[in-house]
Amino acid sequence: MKKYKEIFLNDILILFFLIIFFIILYIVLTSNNYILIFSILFIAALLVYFVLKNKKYKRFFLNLFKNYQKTVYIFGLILLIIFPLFLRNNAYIIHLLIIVSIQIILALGLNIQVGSTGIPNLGFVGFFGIGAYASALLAERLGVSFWICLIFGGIIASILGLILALPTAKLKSYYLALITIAFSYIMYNLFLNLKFFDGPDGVRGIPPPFLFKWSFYNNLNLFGLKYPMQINFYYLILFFLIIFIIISFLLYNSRIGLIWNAIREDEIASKSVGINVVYYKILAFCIGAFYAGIAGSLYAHYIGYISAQNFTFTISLAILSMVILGGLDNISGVILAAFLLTILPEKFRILSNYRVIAFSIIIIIMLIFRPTGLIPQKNRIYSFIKSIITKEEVNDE
Amino acid sequence: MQKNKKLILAISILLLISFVWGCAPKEKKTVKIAFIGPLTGPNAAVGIGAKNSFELKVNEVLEKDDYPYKIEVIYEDDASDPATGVSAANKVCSDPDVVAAATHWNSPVGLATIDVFHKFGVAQVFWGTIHKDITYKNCYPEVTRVIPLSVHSNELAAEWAINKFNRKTWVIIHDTTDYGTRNRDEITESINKRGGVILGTFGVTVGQQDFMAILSKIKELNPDVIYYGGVVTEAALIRTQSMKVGLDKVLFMTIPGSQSDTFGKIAGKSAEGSFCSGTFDVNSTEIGRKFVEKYNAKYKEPFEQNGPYAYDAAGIILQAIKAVGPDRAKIVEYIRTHDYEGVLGVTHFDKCGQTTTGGLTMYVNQDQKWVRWEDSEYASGKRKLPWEK
Amino acid sequence: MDFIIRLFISFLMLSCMYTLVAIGFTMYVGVINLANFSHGDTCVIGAFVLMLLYGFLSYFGITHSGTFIYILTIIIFTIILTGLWGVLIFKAVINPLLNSPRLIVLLATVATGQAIREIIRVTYPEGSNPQVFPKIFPDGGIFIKNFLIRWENIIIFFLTIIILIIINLFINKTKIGLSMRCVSQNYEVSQMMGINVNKTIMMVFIIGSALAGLAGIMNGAYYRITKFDIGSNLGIKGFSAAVIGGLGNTYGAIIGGLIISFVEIFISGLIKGGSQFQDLFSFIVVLIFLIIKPSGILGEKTYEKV
Repeated sequence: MKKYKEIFLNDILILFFLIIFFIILYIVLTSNNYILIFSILFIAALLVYFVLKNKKYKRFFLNLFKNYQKTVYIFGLILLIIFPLFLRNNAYIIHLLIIVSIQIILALGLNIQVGSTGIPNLGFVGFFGIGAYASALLAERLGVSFWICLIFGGIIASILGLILALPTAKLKSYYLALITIAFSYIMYNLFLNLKFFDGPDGVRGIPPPFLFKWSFYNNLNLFGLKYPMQINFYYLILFFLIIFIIISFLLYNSRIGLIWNAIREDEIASKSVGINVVYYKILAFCIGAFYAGIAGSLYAHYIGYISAQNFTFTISLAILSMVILGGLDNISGVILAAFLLTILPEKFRILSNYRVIAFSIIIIIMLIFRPTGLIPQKNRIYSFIKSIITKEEVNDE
Repeated sequence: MQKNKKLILAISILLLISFVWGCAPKEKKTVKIAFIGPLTGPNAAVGIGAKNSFELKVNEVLEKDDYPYKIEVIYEDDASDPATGVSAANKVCSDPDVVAAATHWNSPVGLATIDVFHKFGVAQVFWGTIHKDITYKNCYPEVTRVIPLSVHSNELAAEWAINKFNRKTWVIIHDTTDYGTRNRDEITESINKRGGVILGTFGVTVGQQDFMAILSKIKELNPDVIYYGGVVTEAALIRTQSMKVGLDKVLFMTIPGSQSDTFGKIAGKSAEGSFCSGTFDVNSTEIGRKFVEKYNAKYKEPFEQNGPYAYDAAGIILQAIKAVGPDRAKIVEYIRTHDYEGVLGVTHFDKCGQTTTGGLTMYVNQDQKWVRWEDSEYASGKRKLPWEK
Repeated sequence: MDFIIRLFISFLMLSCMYTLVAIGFTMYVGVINLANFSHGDTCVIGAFVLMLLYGFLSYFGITHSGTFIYILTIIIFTIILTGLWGVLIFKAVINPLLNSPRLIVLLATVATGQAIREIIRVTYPEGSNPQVFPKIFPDGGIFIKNFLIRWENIIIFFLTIIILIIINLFINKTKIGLSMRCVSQNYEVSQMMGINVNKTIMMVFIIGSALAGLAGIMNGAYYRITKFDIGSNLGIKGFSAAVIGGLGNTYGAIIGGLIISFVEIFISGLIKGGSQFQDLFSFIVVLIFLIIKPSGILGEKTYEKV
């Protein structure tokens, strides 16, 4: 009986923390008071810092979330689903959350290439663009259903990733960087100039997704309350976001993730151990591109209009900065960074003139002082020595 | 464990306090209007000029005590990017206090946001953009535009060059943005309609600096007119470099994109005698000159070519709010059905919200400034155009 | 015939522009194995510093009298200042990252370039607009058989060649050049042999930035215009030129410059309707070169040491 009571108490505690988190999120998103937002974020950061410093609290929280992982995920998921229901009058916030989710998917995709495998891909936006255009053109010109266009967009992006990867997988880092830059410029030029992509006018009137004849552009009626149509897209994109996060974690914890990290750390050593470096690099390209393609398709069908201007080199840099800020190969860090780097510029629009300067300087500082990113990441635990390490960890403290 | 739980309680109380503080009762309701334009990015100069003009008009109207509402203006940046524009549009329309907005310079941004404004039913007055689909494709009731279409300025350009100055052979240079290609298509049609001959069409990239290759080729083609469809930097560079290649006896015709005085600044003496088929010359009327005076007294950035349009856009919105109150639907209807008299003269909207007036003017470059043809020393005969054969 | 000559001259000029930028890239990669993506933006700094100096001096009444000495002094000052900027970049960004993986340093230089661009845009008055560049080259030129070859063409062309020769002499014949070559071959052993590696790398940055300053001045002076964002385009084209020519070999810079500008001029000038695709084709050429022969035309095949 006591055991159940303890579990129950801990469940409530977790729920409590998650609710506090979402309340903070709500305030940060809806308030227009810069001082309030800044002070809340500052207090939150301070609290986190102090908790982490103090070993006892740190262990308490880590244990809590480790042992009750399932509870965290389930409650978190429920809250994510309920959250927009409180934003009935705030279509803009839901819109922001949608954009954030798309950026997170993009950042996760780039993280696979840059973070896990160490490929300096500065032209990620090319995959984003081709996924968007492929999906948009298929839907707008041939009237194909959204769900097929979505998969089509992802596959086309992967194929492009394959085409780019095949000849370049063997190259050294700065050559690769240059090729990817050239690649993104070429894609931008093609989107801009070719009549096939509707040239500089862009593709207009991209049809929204349909679910059995019900258009996603319709407002949603739930429990007698009217919800703006953005909420449909929110759930759609949330669904894919969760799938991609799960895939990212699975990949990280699998043999593939391990091999990618090996390639990143020392390519020659990996080759000498028998790893087929070229194959895994190509795999990283294709999977990362798939993320971007799906994100592109979701983006196109949500906004309803795309043009070459949405896919410039600057966007590659923006996504790259999310991956760097989050810490290379640090999935939770990347998610947090993508969230912050999308929301903060929106909230602090007053500083928009200095936004890019602030970004660049933050990136440089992060790279110098904390290349592991915002959220500290545990080192990998290799299963067969797991028990030894955890015992040592406990003894140290 | 007990101590930890106490700490947790303390933290949560702290957070709760911040929550309550954040939800403090807001101020009294004011009527809000929005201005969205490129305040950063490659077209920031135009955006800032328009923003200042908009602000000027709002302050002017509010200073007179008889305006019945307290007005707050929200300025948002679209950075010439459709995605940013859509975010800004969403933000502005989601605020229930916002009743109308004046928007955009870049056509792609406008094309992306008209759907948003239409969904929310917020009046959207365009002080910029030239793409005809913004008003004519969907004919949304919320959309109105105070600036004439590019097709009219291209017609004027062709008319003058071919019929007035008797120059039949053309070379078209354009930039590869939507602005440039649209103008290229329109001028091509206007030229063909009047029996002109197009010897060649060349596309250039924004940001390109070296045009000698295509200009050398154009020298071989020996046209009467060189038309540039694009914005001011490339226009000025092309003009300067064309002189180096020996194309000084050619009529250089540009469009509103180059109407800024930056053209003269960069091209220097080469700018002399160039033409610009442009938008309204604010110096040609008494009321326009007053606007220039008031603007220059307050702001140091030039108001660029869209300042007067933004100024009148503000006037149109404020006139509507004064008449029907802060009601989105009523404002939409009022703006469409009522004329407005302002710096541009009388603005009247057709059934799809497009203005048919708006002052097309032909400018000639005199001493590195764009001067209205009728006011120039070339028209009066005091000077001879440098390229007259 | 006129047409071909004109095309040829603009081809040479464009090559010189790209070459001047490419030389700096070659040095960075050759000596420190670093692709410095802020190099292009450093060129823009050079151009803006010169404009600031001009403005500054004319404010004090020392106006442009057109004399050669005046212009030369200002240019030298600008180059020195830009070189000092190189020191700043080195100390602030590169030094802390000397032992980090190359990817991190590369990303840091990308961010630095972006920061430079934005700082110029925000701090310089009317920074978002294009700026008129002061007149440096005299008008007129030499007439060859009824055809005018302008002074600017001659000066830029010979300047590029002189710079190439000077840099090569510097690297091959001076003591500092020797230490650079040592560091490029083997970082650890150079330290063991008593070479001050930090100082050597800092020298590379000083020279690279000074070169960038010169390139920026030439670019601005030739086109009479400069803008805060031309650095990214210059940087990428310059880097491509360096790569095609072969990184680590300064003469490769001029070959790369020739090839890229050849593609651009050829496509614009001789192919109908090609001018809007010139960027596309030059990048495709870069891509092809990188795939087929990544070490470049004059590059030596290096073996990666374990």
